[in-house]
Amino acid sequence: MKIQKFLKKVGMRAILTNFDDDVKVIRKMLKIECEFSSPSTLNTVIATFKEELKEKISENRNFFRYQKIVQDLIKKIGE
Amino acid sequence: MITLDRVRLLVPENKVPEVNENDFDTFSNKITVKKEILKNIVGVREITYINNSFLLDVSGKITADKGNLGLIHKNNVKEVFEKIDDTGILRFNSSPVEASQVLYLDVTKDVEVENPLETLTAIELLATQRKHKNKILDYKNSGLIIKPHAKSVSDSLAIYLKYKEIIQNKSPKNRLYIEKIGIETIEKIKKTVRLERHLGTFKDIRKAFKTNSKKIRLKEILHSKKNPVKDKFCEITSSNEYDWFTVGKEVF
Repeated sequence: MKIQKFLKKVGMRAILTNFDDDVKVIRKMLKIECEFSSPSTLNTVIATFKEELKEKISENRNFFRYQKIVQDLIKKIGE
Repeated sequence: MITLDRVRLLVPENKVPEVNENDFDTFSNKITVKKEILKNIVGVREITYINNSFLLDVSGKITADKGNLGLIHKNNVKEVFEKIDDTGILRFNSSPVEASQVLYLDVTKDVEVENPLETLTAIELLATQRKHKNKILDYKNSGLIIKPHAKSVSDSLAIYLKYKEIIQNKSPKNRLYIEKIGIETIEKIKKTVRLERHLGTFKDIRKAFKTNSKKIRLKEILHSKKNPVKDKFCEITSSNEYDWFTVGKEVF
């Protein structure tokens, strides 16, 4: 049931982060949260839950604003 | 330009020909300047005689002035030592910038943003991606501090609201500081977010400034072209593009 726990966490926190309809971050989060042993296992899990994950991605677009804020901040720190 | 909010330095005793011995006391086997004297000197946290050197713990507040919060940088570092000289506790025979060895640093950047609280939220959320490397903890004044899990590393990044820090500190020393910068300055920094990279060991300082110097001098730090705050900030908020898990076959 690790994946279910992960999806709960996704709803609260991770989905707000680095999502661009891009699976890379989901893969990373799954790796961190569920400690998968190999990329192939991870692929299977993502394939199984892809609809649920896609739905959660589309639910939350805050990430783009947050990402822009952080990118602007990086520019200012570099000045 | 490198700007420091705090630095702990070792100044060799040959740079200090005169000392007001009455200002010193022996406390816990240390010959150190009395607390009742330091509490009236904004920007000086500690002066201790140790191993034929003077340990100076100085904050950027020593350079504060009307409209200026005070940070130490290459253009005002001589003024820092002049101000310590002016206290009458120590007299330097020449500027000790070149001879001073750095023990601890807070490399600092103040950045004005549109919405400070939302900025902190954004940083926290992006930093959660890297939580396997770092822990994210609450810090003073609605801030957060990102520290490595490894206890051997003393390299952290604190991000907080400078405005809150100033108004919430009720100490007499802080009241003196507010008098120096002027109450109107506090209004002007309501949208300022402060980022501080705390570097607590020689190893961490060398790594952050990409130097191999055996003794790390203040002059080298202040003239460095590196940007340790930006480097750390990018490290904690960016995902690792080369993670082998993320470059596998895509299934969406």
